[in-house]
Amino acid sequence: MGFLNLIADPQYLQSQGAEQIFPLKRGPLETNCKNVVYIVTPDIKYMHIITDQVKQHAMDGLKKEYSLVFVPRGTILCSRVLEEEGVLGNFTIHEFPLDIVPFDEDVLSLELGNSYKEYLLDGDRTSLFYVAKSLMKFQAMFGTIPVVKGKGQCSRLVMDMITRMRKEMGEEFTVPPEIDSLILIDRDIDTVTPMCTQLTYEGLIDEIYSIKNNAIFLDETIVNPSQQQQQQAQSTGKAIPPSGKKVPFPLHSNDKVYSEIRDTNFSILCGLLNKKAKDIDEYYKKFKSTQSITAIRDHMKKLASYQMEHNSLRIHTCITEEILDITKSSSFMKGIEAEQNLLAGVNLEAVERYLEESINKKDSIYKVIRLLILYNSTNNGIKPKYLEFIKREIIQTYGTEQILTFYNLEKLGLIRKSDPKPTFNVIRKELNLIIEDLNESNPSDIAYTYSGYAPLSVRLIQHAIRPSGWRSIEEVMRLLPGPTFEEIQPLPQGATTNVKSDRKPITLVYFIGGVTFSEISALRFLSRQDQANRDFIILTTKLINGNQMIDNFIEKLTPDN
Amino acid sequence: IFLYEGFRNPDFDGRLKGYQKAIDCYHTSKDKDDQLYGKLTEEQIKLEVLQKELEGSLQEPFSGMSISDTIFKLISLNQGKRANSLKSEFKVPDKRFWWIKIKALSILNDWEELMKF
Repeated sequence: MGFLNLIADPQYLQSQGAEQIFPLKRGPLETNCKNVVYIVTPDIKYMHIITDQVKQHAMDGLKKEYSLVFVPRGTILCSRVLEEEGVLGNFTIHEFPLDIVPFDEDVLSLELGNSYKEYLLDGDRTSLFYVAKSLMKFQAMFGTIPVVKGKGQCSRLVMDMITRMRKEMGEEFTVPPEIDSLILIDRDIDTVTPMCTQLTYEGLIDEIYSIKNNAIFLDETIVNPSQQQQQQAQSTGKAIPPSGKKVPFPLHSNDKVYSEIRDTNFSILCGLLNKKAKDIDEYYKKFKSTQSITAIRDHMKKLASYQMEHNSLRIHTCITEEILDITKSSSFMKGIEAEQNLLAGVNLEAVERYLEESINKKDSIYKVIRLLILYNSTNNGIKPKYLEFIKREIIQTYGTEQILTFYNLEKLGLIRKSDPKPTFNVIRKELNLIIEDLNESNPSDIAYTYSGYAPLSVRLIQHAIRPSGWRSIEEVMRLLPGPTFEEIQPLPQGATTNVKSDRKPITLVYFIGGVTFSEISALRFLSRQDQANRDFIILTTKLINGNQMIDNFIEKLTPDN
Repeated sequence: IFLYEGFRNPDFDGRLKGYQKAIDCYHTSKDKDDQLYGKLTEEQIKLEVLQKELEGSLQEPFSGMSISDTIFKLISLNQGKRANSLKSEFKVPDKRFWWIKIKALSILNDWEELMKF
């Protein structure tokens, strides 16, 4: 299940005359169709699978016509592979220049998972070029964005690229601007937030099940329990045993229940689900007691939507139960406690003890590295002696190849020797990142997304949209890496601002290097606040969590398939 | 870079050569980090040689495991003595060694040994 499902679902393809649809996998492709269309992202791995299948067909004496569609574009490397295998001639090759993938009503992504690593580690600017291009495309559709604010090295480069592209284009878009400002923000401005465990519902689902292309894989018994099994379970009073078969379950704001609960803090979720269940129950009761024909007809109209809600409620309750089991466990609590200590800058010793214990127990390397990075960024580095000790512990436990992991992390500055300036303390204080006595059921600050810690990146955006902008927090901006800029893009003639007064202004926020679900939740929360009074559209290179972010840096001996 | 190649070399001798090159590189550098990495890579050579010996005498695969994993496996195979010598050889802190030992013994259900310890 790739991100293709987000733009073209099987039904649509079928309606366009496709007879059979196969997910691409290793092994021979058995089909009677004469025409075969492969839709793939340019990845050498896929090329090999395809060549094998084509060769197999040739051996079996089958004559077929092949087309290959690259999304978003083909690479020379891929063509070379096909050429070397001697099958290039069999294909008609197309490109489908899809660069921005819509994920939800307010979230779009380029799906470039490696951009952070590519630029910062390898110095490869290709992904930044794609970022700039996507912005040009956006402006072509919605008009030139008058105000651009940005922070960070990548943002600066992207801004320069846009300016150049505009000049080269000569002709200007004459579309009236619909988006009034753009905020560019680099991921390495805020490496603290993604390393923390997300505590919104959607964020936790992502941490535990890892959301891929808006869907998670759940046990079949949760998503589609068969009638028979249900009856069995009811009669015996036993829970349905998990079948072990995983099926995808989509998460999208079309799901009414989900859109209401996705952004809330997990601790209040049970209450919400309970209330929802009662609402539906009430409705069913009312339905039974209705007498008149017209009333029944009215109810029937709503029944379908209620049934849908009912089903999704049932599934979400199951997910919540599973997550609760995990969040209640002492190891999870301990991890959160360590994170909170680091964020608040207290009780460092306990954190160090916890970190050592995790290594000794050989917990997942992701967990250890995440904590270490968080330790590093909240303490402005790690004391050399302690760092040496930790390195030894990690390398002896997880294997010597982790030297390369450290090499990567050090090059990025995610792990470094301590410098005496208490940078993070200043930032935390100035930006008010730690909110105590927070009301989670009726939050008044974005800090609810991490149960008390306000994500730094979103706090910066919050300041940026105020009238005084970033000027009021100049000191903090200087402490954060990379240049800060604020520019006005002159509007082309003919495209006068016709901001309709009846609509909230829209700000486009571009997270270069990835964004977490909790940060999205925090932004949605911000737009609902009166003082902000604007809508946000979020654009990013990739939806991430801490694990995915560091996945690029951790050295693995066995290549992942 | 040599290290990267070293790890990917399936051939035992080739791998060791790769490590040695990496070590030479690390030692020419004055940076303290690199010195540490050099030392750790030396340990890796020692470990792989040792693992080869163990494979020979115990008829069990050891290659590719980290130091902690090797100790864990040795305890699981009732080779406590060998585990102890590994501990001192690589200066494994007591704390971590105990963790490994407890984990291994509890999997073995060797409560007697666990109590003694």
